[in-house]
Amino acid sequence: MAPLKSLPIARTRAGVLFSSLIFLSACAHAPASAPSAGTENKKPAQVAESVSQYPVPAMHTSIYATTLANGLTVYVVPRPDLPLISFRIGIRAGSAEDPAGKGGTAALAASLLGKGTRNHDAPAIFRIVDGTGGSLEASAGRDFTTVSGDSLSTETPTLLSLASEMVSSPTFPPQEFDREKTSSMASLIDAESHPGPKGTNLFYRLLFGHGPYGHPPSGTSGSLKGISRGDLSDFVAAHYRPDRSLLVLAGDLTPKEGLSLARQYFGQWTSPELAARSSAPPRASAFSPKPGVFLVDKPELRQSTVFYGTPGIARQDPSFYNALVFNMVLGATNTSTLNRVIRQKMGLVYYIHTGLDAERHPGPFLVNFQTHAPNTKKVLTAMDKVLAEAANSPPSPEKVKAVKDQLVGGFPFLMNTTSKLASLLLVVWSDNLGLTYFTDYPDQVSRVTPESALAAGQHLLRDKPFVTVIVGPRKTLEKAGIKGQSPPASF
Amino acid sequence: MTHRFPRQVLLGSLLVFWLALPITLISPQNASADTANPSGSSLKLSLLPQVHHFKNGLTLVTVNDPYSPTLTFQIWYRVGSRNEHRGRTGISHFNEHMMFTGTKKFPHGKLDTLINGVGGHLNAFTDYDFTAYFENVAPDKIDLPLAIESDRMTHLLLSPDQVERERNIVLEERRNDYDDPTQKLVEKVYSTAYAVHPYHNPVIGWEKDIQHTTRKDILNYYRAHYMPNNATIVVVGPVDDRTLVKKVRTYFGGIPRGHLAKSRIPAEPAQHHLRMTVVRKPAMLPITMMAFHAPNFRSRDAMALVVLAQVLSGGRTSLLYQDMIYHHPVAVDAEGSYDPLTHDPGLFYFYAQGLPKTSPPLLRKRLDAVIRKVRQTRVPADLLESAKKQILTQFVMNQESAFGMGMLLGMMSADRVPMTYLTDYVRKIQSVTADDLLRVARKYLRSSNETVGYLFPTGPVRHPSFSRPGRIVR
Repeated sequence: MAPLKSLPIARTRAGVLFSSLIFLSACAHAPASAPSAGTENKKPAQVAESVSQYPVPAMHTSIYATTLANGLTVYVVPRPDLPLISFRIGIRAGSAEDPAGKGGTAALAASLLGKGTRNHDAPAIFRIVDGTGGSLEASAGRDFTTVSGDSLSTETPTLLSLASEMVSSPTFPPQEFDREKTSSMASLIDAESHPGPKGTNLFYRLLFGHGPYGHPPSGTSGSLKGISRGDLSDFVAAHYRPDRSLLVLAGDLTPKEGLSLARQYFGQWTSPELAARSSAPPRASAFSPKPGVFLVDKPELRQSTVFYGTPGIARQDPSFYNALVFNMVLGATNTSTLNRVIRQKMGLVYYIHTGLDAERHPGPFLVNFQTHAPNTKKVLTAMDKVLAEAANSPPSPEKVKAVKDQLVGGFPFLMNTTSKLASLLLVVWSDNLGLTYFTDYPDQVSRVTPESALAAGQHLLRDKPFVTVIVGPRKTLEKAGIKGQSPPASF
Repeated sequence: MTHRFPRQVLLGSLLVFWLALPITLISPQNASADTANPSGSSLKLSLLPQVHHFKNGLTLVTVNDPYSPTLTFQIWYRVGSRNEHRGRTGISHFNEHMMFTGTKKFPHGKLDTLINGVGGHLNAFTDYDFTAYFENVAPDKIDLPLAIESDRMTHLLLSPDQVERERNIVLEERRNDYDDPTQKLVEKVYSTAYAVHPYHNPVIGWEKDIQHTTRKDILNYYRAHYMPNNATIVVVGPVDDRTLVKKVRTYFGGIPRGHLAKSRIPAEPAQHHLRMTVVRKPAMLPITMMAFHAPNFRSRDAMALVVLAQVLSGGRTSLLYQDMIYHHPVAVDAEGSYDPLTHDPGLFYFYAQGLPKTSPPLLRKRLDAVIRKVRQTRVPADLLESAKKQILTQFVMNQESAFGMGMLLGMMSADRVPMTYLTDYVRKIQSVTADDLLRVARKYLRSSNETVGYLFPTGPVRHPSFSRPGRIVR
């Protein structure tokens, strides 16, 4: 067997602070040769960023965190097993920040970042990216916009250089804007007729109205119509700023190299709109959903797709880990109570699961399943019974222990490749979980008891307005005893 | 939750990890920018698979990846829908479901409890050529999958009530496909392109066959195919090879070699005329699919076809993106795809989902124009080089995933792909020329070898999520 590189060992505990100079000379994975002089010459003036090191035991590595002078947060994660680097740029510019009535602004802006910058037009960007053999993509979720680059480490500087232009000087050329908008509209028109997206979008709208998560990140075909190029420029000016952003560099690089790349390509990123930054208040998340059963008629379908739920909690909620365990016991695994009763015993569904959608803002606690339309009522009745029982008595200590073991044992699967770890770090950053998350998580899970899980479950389920959305053939559903109203066109 | 593993993902996971293979990848724009990899643009990869053959015919393939925090244990049986007979299609997949319904040692539900209890994942998937089961666990939990898989290789209970309950669940899956117009189109294109070979049938089977398959059918099928000499175990992660060999011998060594009847699978005769199929279902956007019979990995043309597919749809400089999405927008998506890793010859297919107000014939016209282009002119050198670089970069990237590596090794074993396919892979991809692309395009992308499928939307319905009809999982 060929010799293998030695494993990187995380030697330090969390939160060790030291100066960049000490840090740079002490890095564990020094390269075989120093970065090229050309690279060094391009560096901006050195600043004495303090660097903190946080271990990620599951991956046998550490996160080296610092903040550049312009406010950009930088995480470097050395993983020298393969000659690859994954980088992620997170910008607090998700669809939760979309201007009122212009849902999809963040997503449309992101999709156009790679279609024109100050120095490159779209065809040039396409050529450069494809020429690296790697990928460079941008997209917007609910809480942040992501620019992702994955390539051989030799190509990383090329992609970083482009990514830097994309976030600091996108131009949204008119032709590209029109083309992208047409294509996005077509995709949305299509998606909106699919039971999954159709049901999801309606469910979130009914639960959250005009709140941050009330509309899909992609917007709707209706909201997209009203977005102009100017809207995109305004959005970027207000939100794309280094002090609202994170850069993660993970893979075959040392902390020193990572910091050097960050400075070289993002050190000059400024926030020209600092004084003029929009001070519009964040969207109100307070919205009182109207409970009820809403039916979307799709006569051509044989299956019904069902969403049932109520507003839940944010990731920062102190009851999160208890709610997580409650959710897992109830319906989030293939050994959950709902799965055991409705799939394993009754054989009525191919899948049924619960979800705890908790991010920067509260999402729903929901049940989702698909079943043969005539069985819909039967499944809903069985589901109600399981939920009522779950809210009445604590889960057994054995079940709670099993779920806690599953969560702790399964933690490495959240990050078992470098690109997954890089993406996870964006979530950790966005949800303000802190970089001790990787060591705290098992402790947090271990504190959950059957009683604390029940309390969290009751908090989620009791005295709450529940919305049911069913997409399926109305006639069959009504014959099966389902009564539902047509969804409101808008609010 | 359904997990799909599109073949295309696996195509990209043709890893080059088992030899110290020098790969030279030159980036014209970036020749001096290699601060992140001071060794320059040359890669040397050095993870080695070990292959062991046991007396009872069982094969073990291990890859020691010390960087992986998790381990994948997979067992691959060389049986899939290509081994099925008329009237009993879908039995491989039905049997796969039954593999989770209990043995005396591990009653129904126990497997999920045990694997969840250590934070692992287990599942299975069925394809044309194979059925595979996997457990992804922490490295120190390796005994658990060994105990589970050695037990259910021979001790499945197949209780009648479990068969009936599982039949309903399989029919639920089947109805999901029925409701999806794109799946329907793909299914029809395959069943039209293959007249006699079992790739004609969807892996999940025809609904009527699922309804009529009996417990006895499944029991006979299970006994005929589940045996050590029809299986390969693949383990990837931080594992010690010698220790693992001992463990596998302990758990599986007592299972005797079985009698494996020789399958007689009809070869698909050459196609001589264009074939057409049409689906009319409620949908919002039209789709055109065009499929050409193509050889598998055994052909000397396979690597050229891999590169041709990348030239057609790898990235935004690809021919299809440039033509149909960027310069003359008629489609929201347009791709060409080819998978050399099939047991029997497969399909090189194109598909395009049109913008509103386009039609399947219009999409076909545009696809035909691109196909004509690759049949008539040499692909520009920079596009060819870029495509090859993308393919090789993807190989390296996919090494990161222990599960992905396991999938590749298992699939190779199931399709009896020789190791030389991989040891020669980089060299062969790099040696593909523009003339090769021209030659294979002319040889295979011709109308007498083609099946065209149209999806005409008849009203509002659902989003087509395109995937080949192959793999389905529990």
